[in-house]
Amino acid sequence: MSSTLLRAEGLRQVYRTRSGRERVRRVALDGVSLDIRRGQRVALVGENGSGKSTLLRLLARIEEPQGGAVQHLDEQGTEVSRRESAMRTGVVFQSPGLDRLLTVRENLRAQAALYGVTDAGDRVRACAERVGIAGRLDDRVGALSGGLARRADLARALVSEPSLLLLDEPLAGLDESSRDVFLRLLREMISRDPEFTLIMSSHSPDEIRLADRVIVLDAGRVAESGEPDGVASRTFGGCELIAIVAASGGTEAGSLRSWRAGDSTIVGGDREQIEHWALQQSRRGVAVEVRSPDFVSAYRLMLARSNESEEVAA
Amino acid sequence: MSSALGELISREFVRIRRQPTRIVATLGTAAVFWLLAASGFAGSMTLPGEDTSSYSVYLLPGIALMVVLFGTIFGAIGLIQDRHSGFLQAVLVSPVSLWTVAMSKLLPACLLATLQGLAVLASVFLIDGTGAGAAGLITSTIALFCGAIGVLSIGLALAWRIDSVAGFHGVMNILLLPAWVLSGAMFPVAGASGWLSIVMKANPLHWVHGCVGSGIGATGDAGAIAWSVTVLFPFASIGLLLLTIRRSHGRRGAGDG
Repeated sequence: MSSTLLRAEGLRQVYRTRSGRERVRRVALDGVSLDIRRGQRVALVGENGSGKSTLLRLLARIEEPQGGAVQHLDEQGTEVSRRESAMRTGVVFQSPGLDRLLTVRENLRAQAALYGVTDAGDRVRACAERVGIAGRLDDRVGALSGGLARRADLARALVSEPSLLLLDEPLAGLDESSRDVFLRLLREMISRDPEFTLIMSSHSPDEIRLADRVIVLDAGRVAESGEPDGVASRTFGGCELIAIVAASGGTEAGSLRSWRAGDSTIVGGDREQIEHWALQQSRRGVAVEVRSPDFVSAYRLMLARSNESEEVAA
Repeated sequence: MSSALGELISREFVRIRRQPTRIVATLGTAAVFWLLAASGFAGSMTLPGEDTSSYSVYLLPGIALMVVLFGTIFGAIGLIQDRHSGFLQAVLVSPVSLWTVAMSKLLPACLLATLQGLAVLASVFLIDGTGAGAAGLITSTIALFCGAIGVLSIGLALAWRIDSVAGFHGVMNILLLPAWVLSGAMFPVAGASGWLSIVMKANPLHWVHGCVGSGIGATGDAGAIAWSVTVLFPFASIGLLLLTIRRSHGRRGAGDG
């Protein structure tokens, strides 16, 4: 089993903010403890405001925790210096960490200098090629589209060749082609180096599919942690996922009337009964698949339900 | 990590080069102000305790200080812009020390501000070449550089805590503009009332102004106290800046890279 790379113990972070005229304290993290092993791909999931970004900021050591501690460890389990931990860590923020007045090349060269990269010219070119912006190296960042700027930001994080990459909702707001580039690159890095460790906050099922561990945050606490399907089975224990894989025309399938191919839901109850019901639906021309919920489909449904309830509330 | 500092400083100069209005605004404001004050109000100004040849010459060190103030304000605003763009965050997660981060913001803006101030001071040769020599100009420039570091360090410490450019402008207007007026930039301390004279003498910029002025012969001899304050001012301000940064970022110190 691989050794622990990162340990967080009892992290607590409180922000003072204003709500109307009142000053309020918002607990962003409330006693978060976790160990991250080398080579793990971790997805931090949870609703907005659950503490994902704060946790990433503390793990990246942009902020010091008000309570608890973050330790970056070497293979023997000894805490490494801040400088060493920074050297091996790359961070991609929600908004690009680039200077808009500088060109992409100038930004990447500055980043290379911060990490003491000696062959900066070659490294910058190689990183730009990996994210598909080699042709835009001499463009100012301010002139790039949002998607290209995010790609340039990923290149920035890769210039130092980090073994630990922290990503804060990397696919948010990206077009299809930029999403593909991001996902392809992450898969490539994962497959190239078994020790490469990834921690990302995410709302995207595509990102979560990359993870071999999911940490669910709820109101600043770890609600669930483990392998994605294990988390799903604990979260939706005793439930079954019903997926309508094909709906033929003209069906009068009662409650399925408004369903379309590809729709799914999670229901609780006896599996045999549910399978019997699915068989009946199939005879009526609606192909229904019943399976245990995997994390991604469960999470997708949770998001959809949360969006629906927000719309109703609005 | 000196290459990191060099790269960050060169980035600042690239930014300055790509914002030429920053230089034009600084020098232009100073020139307009000097023209208005020197030519418009010179007749109604008497300078108690000063033996300078004219009000236009007396104004020069104050105008040079104004240039330094404006230059340093732009420098501090650059920090807020870096925070908003996300660049500062990317620097803070890197292995460079907070000292490097602070110096990378401080040195380029101070160098630029001092050079702009020097351009103002050098115009003394055009106006009245009798009182100043090259050595005096160098002395004045050193004092100006000390003033620039002192003021910008305070500006950066404030900018580190203030999230909006508008808010920062407000604070700077409350703090720096009065500090500039009370430096003796427009009238000498000798003519000030008792309480104002105390306030002026408590203002480090007053002593910086004295050192800048004495070098080019615009004001009388600055004296040892003025030079002591002028040299100590940047150290105290840098201390304040580093303290502010350290408090904002917990234990991370200057030497732990």
